[in-house]
Amino acid sequence: MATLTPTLTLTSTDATSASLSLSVTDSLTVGAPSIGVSKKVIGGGTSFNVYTDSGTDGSAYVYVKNANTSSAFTAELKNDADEAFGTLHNEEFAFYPIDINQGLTVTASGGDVTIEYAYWTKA
Amino acid sequence: MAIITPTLTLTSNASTATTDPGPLSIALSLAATDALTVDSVQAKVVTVSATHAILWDASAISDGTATAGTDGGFVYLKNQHATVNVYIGFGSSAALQADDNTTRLLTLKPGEFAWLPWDLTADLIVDASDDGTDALETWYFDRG
Repeated sequence: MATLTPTLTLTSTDATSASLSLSVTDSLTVGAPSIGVSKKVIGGGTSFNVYTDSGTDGSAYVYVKNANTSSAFTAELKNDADEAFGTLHNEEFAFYPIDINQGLTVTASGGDVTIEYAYWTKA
Repeated sequence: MAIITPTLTLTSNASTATTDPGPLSIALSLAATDALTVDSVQAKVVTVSATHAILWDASAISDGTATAGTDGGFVYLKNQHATVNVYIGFGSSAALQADDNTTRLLTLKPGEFAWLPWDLTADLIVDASDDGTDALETWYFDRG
């Protein structure tokens, strides 16, 4: 088993009248299977399984980023029922523990999208 | 319009480290950041139970006219409880405790957090393994 330390900070000086400065960190115990930080070009209108439905229960911590910087194309995040629940625009990212019995699919919408991704299965 | 700056760092030691060894043979230090233009912010702390409920009502935010990929925003979730598992689903309100539940998007163990986009095309549902007072902190940032 191994340790992964994620930290998320959210800051803003104008979202509300009070400055926002939120920081959260955790120490995650992870094991196999895992995929280190990787890049993938997804052709427009096609999909890529970041994490294929494992058929077993559990979680995997997934990082996925739309690494495009200047296009209008987006990365749609989909569940196992092929329903898009969220969209990543240029340089936007997500980090969350997916249910590995559902997996995660990313579809490139509008044109080619380069994603950066990684995952670590919860031990 | 306002700007929210989310920054994620992922770090781990090399697998050969004697203290807190990481998953890879090399140390990991990843940083991702972005500048999100938002037009509204909502935050709340939610008491959870083993009875499912709507966490964020899509139609209440978008008037039921959301377009995936255009509307929506980002959701931050943190399980603040010491023992209760919190389940988050996407779609029609339904129990989320069962494994291999197609509505369930994710499970937050105690102390875990999530940052993910949400398109407002269906509600976000919350359920839990047990009662948990003020167990879930959540924010919604609507794209501007």
